[in-house]
Amino acid sequence: MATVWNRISTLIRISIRYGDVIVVTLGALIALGYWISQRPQRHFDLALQDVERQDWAAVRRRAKALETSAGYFPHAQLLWGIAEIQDDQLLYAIEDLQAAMLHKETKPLACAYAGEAWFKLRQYARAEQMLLAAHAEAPNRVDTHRWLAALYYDTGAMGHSLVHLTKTAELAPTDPRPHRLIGLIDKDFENYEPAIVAYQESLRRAPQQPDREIVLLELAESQVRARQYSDALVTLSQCQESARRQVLEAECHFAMDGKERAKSVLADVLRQVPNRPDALVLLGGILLDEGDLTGAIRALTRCLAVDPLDYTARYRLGQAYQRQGNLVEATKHAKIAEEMKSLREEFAQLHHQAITKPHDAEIRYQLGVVARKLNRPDLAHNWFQAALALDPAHSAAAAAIQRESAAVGTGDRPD
Amino acid sequence: MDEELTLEDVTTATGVSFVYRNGEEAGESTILESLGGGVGLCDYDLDGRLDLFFPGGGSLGPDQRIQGMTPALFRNQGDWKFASVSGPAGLEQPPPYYSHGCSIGDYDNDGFPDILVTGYGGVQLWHNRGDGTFAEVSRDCGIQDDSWSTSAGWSDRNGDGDLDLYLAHYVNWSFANHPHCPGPVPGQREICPPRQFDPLPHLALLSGGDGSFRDASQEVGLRTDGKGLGVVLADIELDGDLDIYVANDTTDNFLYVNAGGGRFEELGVIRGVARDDLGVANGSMGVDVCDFNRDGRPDLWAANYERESFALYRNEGAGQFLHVSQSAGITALGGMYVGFGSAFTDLDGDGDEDVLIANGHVIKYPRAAPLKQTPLVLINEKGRFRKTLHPPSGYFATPHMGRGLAVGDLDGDRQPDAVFSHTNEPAALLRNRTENQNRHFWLRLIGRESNRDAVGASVVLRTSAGDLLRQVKGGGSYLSQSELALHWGLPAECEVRGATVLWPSGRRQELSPKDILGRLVVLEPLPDPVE
Repeated sequence: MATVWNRISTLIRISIRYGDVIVVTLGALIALGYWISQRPQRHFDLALQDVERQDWAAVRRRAKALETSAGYFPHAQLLWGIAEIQDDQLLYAIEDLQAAMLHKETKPLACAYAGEAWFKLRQYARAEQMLLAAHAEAPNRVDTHRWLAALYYDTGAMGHSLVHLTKTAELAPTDPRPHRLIGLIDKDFENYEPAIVAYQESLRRAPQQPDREIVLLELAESQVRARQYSDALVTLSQCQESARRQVLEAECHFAMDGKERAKSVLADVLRQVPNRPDALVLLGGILLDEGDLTGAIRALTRCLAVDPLDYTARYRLGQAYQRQGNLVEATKHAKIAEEMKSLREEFAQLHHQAITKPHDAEIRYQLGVVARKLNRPDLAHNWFQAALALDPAHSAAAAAIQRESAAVGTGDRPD
Repeated sequence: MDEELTLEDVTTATGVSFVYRNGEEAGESTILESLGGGVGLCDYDLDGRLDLFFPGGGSLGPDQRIQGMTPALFRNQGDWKFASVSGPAGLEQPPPYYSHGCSIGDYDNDGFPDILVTGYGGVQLWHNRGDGTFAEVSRDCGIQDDSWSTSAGWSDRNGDGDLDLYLAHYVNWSFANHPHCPGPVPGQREICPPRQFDPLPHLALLSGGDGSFRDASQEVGLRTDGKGLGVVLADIELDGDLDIYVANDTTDNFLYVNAGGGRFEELGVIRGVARDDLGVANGSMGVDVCDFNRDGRPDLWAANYERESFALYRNEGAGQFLHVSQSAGITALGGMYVGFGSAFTDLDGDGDEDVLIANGHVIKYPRAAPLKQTPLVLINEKGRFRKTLHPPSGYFATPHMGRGLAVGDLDGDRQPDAVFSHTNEPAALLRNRTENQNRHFWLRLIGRESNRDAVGASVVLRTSAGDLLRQVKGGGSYLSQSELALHWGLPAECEVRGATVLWPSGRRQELSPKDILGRLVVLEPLPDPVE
């Protein structure tokens, strides 16, 4: 009994003597185990940093490494999906991302990237579904807001787009792009004062942004439309020489009691670009104001030769003939102007409906049809695409796009 | 104000305390609340001083019941003192409808001005008994209008010597047609825009000459697609008969050209006064006729919605007009204003007609422009307008919910004064205290063969600085009635050489320079017995 006790007490003494060493060793072993167990997570975190850096080779390397790590297969699939989007392998990407969605940790990002992939495939309904799911999981992920903003912009749901652009701007305080797009949307909807604020904020965030010249011109145009002529002239003074800049300057001068200066600027523009429509419409208006009916008719006719569907030119030409007493020509142009006015009103009405019904493909198709009648093939194309994206089974939209493609193929636009 | 122009807010000391109510506290956000109310100037008791009439507005009950509010009549006691006389005048009862505007005319040619009150769901015609009291006679006169009338104008459309009536109508809103229009923040309800509703046909009533009226809208040839807010009636073509200009909200404005025999032809687009310079129909509210460039031809004005320039249509002759807001400096005002009451008058007495404009928004949550807005005084400088500078405080520096506006000489000093009405805030009386050497003339025309108010008459004052045209107008401004007497301002060095009156009857009358004194009443000459 005493022997047994002696052995135990010896062991206790040894333990006490070497206790520190044992504890340290055990601790090290535990830490080593933990580090080994967390190695895939570390890989995954680094992979996400690689994504940020757009180092796609590194992303693929880490994805491969993670494939064999227990419990990290969904993480690997997420990374593969992200990389495949960059390779434009969108359907493969979606397949991988769908697998990644099954894991709680990878679901938010998988949804977000799947949304991006669907967006790039112009499958807007699915894209929206994915992006909204991503948004629900991670409401402050800036890229989700970016894609939602783009999606709603492309489908004409501008109110929704503005919400996500505003959030994007808030989450990315140095990015000038959201405000530029906010400005563009507001300008297109003739909300010139908010457009001005947005463009100015974009320029404040990045005064030397790559699109600076375009942003300045859009800002100046908004200022002219908001009748802030002095401010517009200041903005235009920062722009490079261009016909657009000069026409806007001329409009400012005309409104600010500088009719002769406006005419001189327009003459300069028209020397360089003889048939520039906006210059001709403005000149026609100034000449009408001066009572030079012959000059006005000449300018407006030239404008309509370039763009027969310029409504303002047509309206003013009808007025000029009316005042000249040429009732035959006046009636002819007034009739065409009335037809165009109806189309413009129909377009505006449909546009309004498109905002309130963000998922209605038929409205977008009709917008395309009216845009085509208004000689705006670019707009028509976008609206047909939007209709088809919202409803891939929309045969009329598909046929319209096909007709357009065929026309482009023969070098002849349907319009 | 500018050093050369002083308009002083004297409301507090006058005893005029009136607030037009629109019922917004019910929280219904109806388009009904957006129109506001007007103001009328007339000498109802013929004491030589202009009195004030205000329609009361209305309230919206919790059960969506629409009720009228009591109007107000203030008697001018002189020296800028007014007394409320609504009770003694018999006007103390609220109307059975929600009221907006007033148009004042002597429809029975008895010499006493009568008051028509427009609104949603009814109109009232207050016959001036001549003893300081009024009697509501619309039913007796055959005037029944349960629609939604806004501005109205008296005029003799068929030249029979009796005043007829034009009632502009707005849109088909009702609580049964009251869609939810979302505000900018979820949960907010915004007032729906007029595009959400269909236009209501306007009403043209023809006087039978015996105090009765009948609906003549069809024979006049009224269009049915205008959302009318303003109307002005004058001899716009200068051909001796009366034409009608109607301001519509978001639809083309109408110009009804008199084709004779009580018939009219709507030629707004052809004549160039239906739309702006880009060919776009504006949200037009207030209207007026003027001769801003002193070329002897009547020009037209329409106050418009934000982002749309106020429209100045220059008469180019041969019945044609041109939108000249850009070259006239109007566009340079910016796009912040939602303009309503508008009145051209020569405030500084330099011979050019200046313009006053009441501004204020119509929706609850505007993005681009403020809800309350400063009124405008635009000084006419040889056909180009300049916004006046004003001190940092005072009426013109303070934003208001401006709506109605009427001008007239309220204190007999011959300088035109102004009254602005607002929504849910007190009306304001502006005293013209401009000090300069310029002279002011007033001519009150009394028709005898023509209608007694001489609506439709044109007068050309011949001066060493050129001819100056003024016209007696029906309607004008927004929901309001200005003084009917004609006003001219003239620089001190300018010599008056006479005047020619063209009466609605077609009669021409020459006035010699010695006749033209500070304030003159001119009777229409009766036909020569030999004639």
